[in-house]
Amino acid sequence: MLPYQMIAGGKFAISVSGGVTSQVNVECISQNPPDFIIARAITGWGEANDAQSIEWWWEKSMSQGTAKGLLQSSAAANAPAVTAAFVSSNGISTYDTANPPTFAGLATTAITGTAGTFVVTMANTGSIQVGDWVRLYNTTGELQIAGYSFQVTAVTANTSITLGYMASGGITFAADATAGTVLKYIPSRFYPRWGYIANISRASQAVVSFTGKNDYTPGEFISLRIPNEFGSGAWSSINNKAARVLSVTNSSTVSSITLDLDTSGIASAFSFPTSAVAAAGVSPAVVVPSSSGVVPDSGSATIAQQPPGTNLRDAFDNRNTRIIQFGPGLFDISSFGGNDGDIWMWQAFKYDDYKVSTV
Amino acid sequence: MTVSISTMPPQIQQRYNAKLLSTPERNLVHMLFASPVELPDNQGFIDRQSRYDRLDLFPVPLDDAQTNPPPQQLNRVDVDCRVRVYATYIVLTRQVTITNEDPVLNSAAARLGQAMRETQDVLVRDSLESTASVVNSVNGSNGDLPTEMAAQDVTDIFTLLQNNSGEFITNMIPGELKIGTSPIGDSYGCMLTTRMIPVLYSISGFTRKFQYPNVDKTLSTELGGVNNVRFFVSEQGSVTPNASLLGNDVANCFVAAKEAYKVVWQAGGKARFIYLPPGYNNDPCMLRHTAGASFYQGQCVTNDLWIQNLRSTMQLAA
Repeated sequence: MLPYQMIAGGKFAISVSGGVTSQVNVECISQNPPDFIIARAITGWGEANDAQSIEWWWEKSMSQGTAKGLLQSSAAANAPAVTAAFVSSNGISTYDTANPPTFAGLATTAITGTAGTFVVTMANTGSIQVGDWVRLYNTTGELQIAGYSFQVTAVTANTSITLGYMASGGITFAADATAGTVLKYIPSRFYPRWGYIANISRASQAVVSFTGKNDYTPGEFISLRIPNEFGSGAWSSINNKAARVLSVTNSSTVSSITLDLDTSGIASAFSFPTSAVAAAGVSPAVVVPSSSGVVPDSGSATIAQQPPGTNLRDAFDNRNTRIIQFGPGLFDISSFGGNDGDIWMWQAFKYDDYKVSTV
Repeated sequence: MTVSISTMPPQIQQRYNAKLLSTPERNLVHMLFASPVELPDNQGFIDRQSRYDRLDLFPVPLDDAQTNPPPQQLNRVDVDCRVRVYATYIVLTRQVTITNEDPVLNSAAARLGQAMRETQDVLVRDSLESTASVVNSVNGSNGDLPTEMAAQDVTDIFTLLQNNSGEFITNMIPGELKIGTSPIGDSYGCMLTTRMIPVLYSISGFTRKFQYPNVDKTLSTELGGVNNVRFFVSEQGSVTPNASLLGNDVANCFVAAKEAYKVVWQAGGKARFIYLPPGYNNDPCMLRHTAGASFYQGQCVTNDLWIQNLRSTMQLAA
């Protein structure tokens, strides 16, 4: 082994909302998987009167998603007691996005498609966190979206997850799904990617909604593929035509792009096929990346920059990387919860020589 | 005491055969139909290629006043592709290379070459998986969505590519007076997983490669053809797990017309094997060899109308 010690490090802030901490993903640029990872609280270390976790570590003999660390009790500054702790899930894990870990499917008993809220009832939400991608399959009803992928916008542990991007599209179904399987997965980061259409408006500048965050950029050209089953065949006239992206929205619940494409004259609104029609066989309605374009002028969605600004961000690319994930289990410890905005430092190491036997 | 073979020392019982066993190597099919492009050095790392859109037809004659018609807008489409660097290496101590009986550095070179070529192939596969248009097979009978691929699905994709003015990849193989053979039409190329072989062989009208009238212009990775599509299989073909309506794995079968996608290599970064003898890399006592491989590559779809992902499940109807 060549000399190789600390291979990456940095700091991050944790985000706590409603008492729930979001997982933190940091990039470990080396393609070499780290053997030892440690994170220490900068804000919380020695902090007065605030019980919280202050250190977590993982090494390669431990299972992915676990961590061992230290909890600091509430006391005067520099006087708190420290106890050892272990988390068996939602701890520290590392993977590369080209070969991500796989997860077991989890059962759902209802998906609220009739209300259009797309809340997925699950007695066991497993390791699903806000921002994760899930795939639905084997649903009883709502076959229109069986096999579809969605990004999760809210999680109530062991109760439900919300597919908020699908919900914000504004589509409703005739009947709820009453059973099914939810599979968490980590998508590849080849760029750009095709995306499922959750809805598309009839307007002088059409707005396309997606089932999860999209990665298109203003100025980029996309192309639509809308089978006849989605809106009585009315949308076939815009299929296969390149349309320029004017603006992009990627909020916590809305993922959409506004297009330089007039759909106001289309006779029927976009709609999903019925569950029965889907069962008989349809292709999904999708957006596919097409080509590069000129960046719109700042403050204007329609006027191109002068001189024209070439969009380099939309180049086809492989953005896969190695991730170190610090799960919410590190910060959501009962009576030792983290605080929004707390800063942590982290380091990743590679052993020169890792021995598993003694002499 | 009786001397038998069981009392012989281990080193006498064993002979080391210097002829190495074969290492499994995967079929490389995903770059078969890619347009190769070289990015010159010192000119950035994003390759831009462009095409001009078709102009509108003008079937209306000018009137007798001979007034000039309005001009047309000439529109150019740009496609950008970023080149990235990929590298890996192995380290062998000198003790190994002067102890081992077989030429281990030769094997290292061979395995690095294999890993490099398979990586290049996988990069193109993943790029197509990410960007190609998605069409479900719907004409099979296994009750899933997508269904298993059927002849009508292949016809539909062939029709779609024809409607999109996609050019064929291969020329017709005309019929000959040979028993058990069947002519093959001009064809698009399909790249898919070997897990699809049972489905392909169940497709009505599928012509296996050995039934071609002439196999001179075929590859070992080719399985056969049906309805103007020829199929090339790989163990590392694209599969999306649990992505069907029933939760079965879905094969992503990429059907390409000519110039549908490309691979970009940087002139100064073409695939290379890098051997460094002991003494390099902070190795003052000359204890370690390193053998590495690196390449610079980008890949992308150049026309989204000319590459289709025909998705199929791999279960045959009961």
